[in-house]
Amino acid sequence: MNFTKNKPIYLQIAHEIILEIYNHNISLASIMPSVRELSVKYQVTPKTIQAVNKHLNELEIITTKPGVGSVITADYELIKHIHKLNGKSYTLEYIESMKKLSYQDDEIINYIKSSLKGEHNND
Amino acid sequence: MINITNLTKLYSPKKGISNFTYNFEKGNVYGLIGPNGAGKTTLIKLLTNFVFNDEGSIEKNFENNEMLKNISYMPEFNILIPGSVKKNIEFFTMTYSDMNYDTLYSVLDTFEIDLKDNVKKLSTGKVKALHFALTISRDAKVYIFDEPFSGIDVITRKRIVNEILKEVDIEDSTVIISSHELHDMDQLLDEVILLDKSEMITSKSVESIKEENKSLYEWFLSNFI
Repeated sequence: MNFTKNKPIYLQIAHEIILEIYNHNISLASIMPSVRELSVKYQVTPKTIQAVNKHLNELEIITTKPGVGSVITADYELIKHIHKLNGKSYTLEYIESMKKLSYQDDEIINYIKSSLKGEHNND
Repeated sequence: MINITNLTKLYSPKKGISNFTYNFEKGNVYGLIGPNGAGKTTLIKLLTNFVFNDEGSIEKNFENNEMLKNISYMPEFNILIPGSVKKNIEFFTMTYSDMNYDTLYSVLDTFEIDLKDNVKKLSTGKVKALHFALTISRDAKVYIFDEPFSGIDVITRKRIVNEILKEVDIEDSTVIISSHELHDMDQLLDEVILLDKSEMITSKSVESIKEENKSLYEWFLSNFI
């Protein structure tokens, strides 16, 4: 996984895990791999993985069960909801940076539309 | 794990380390960062009892802190003796009895180093990798790597990072890595300590740097410009 270097790494990994659950690559109600396993998988320190777990815990995506470990939620609606929020926050981030470049709302909308069209033309 | 207070060791007014105070804790990977001659190696030599301090104190609160019993240290200088890799392992384990051979053989395999290889014929990268393998395969509480990434290729570097994450029980130990620059260190460090001209300029957690929307490298440069 390639990380954006000027943003917290734990958030990027948390988003990645949420996406994996959303796409059914990680099963609902399954047990989270150990801190060590995730640390090797994402090539980050155990402390970063602990921050990922803490974040996922706060979002109630995982719950820690004594003797079992961290268990992923069985509630797909929750995953869909958080996935939507992530999409929204990336969009807001984009809009904010466009506004910094003095783009007006209609210009931003047109820019997105034409960019999406451009992407389809390349297909 | 290691509490350091007002530690001073000066070879001359600007060479060494001056008035260094810091607590190294369990479960963290620390980066000792600074230009060449900043005081990184002096600090490491003090931690590993290679030199003794002029002033201040180092308190290591783990069971047996005599000499290097619980500290595994990869120096920047060569500690190999003439002969084969096997002979070097035998020599090394005469001093350090806490070698985990399963780990050692697996790490040597990763770096394609054979027990029969003559150390004189190893490339610079493999000599570094052998030092690294010996250091990482000990069952220690503290692991200290002095400039582990200097003078090696990208592949060896990636393998070293992977082996540290895979083989060291970081959650239960303290890892200290020195480097003269911060490029591509973002994922490996939890805390950075910036040294220059024998003094600590600042220390910070890597996540807090990223919360400020900076990469480690940008932050490093901003402290000098």
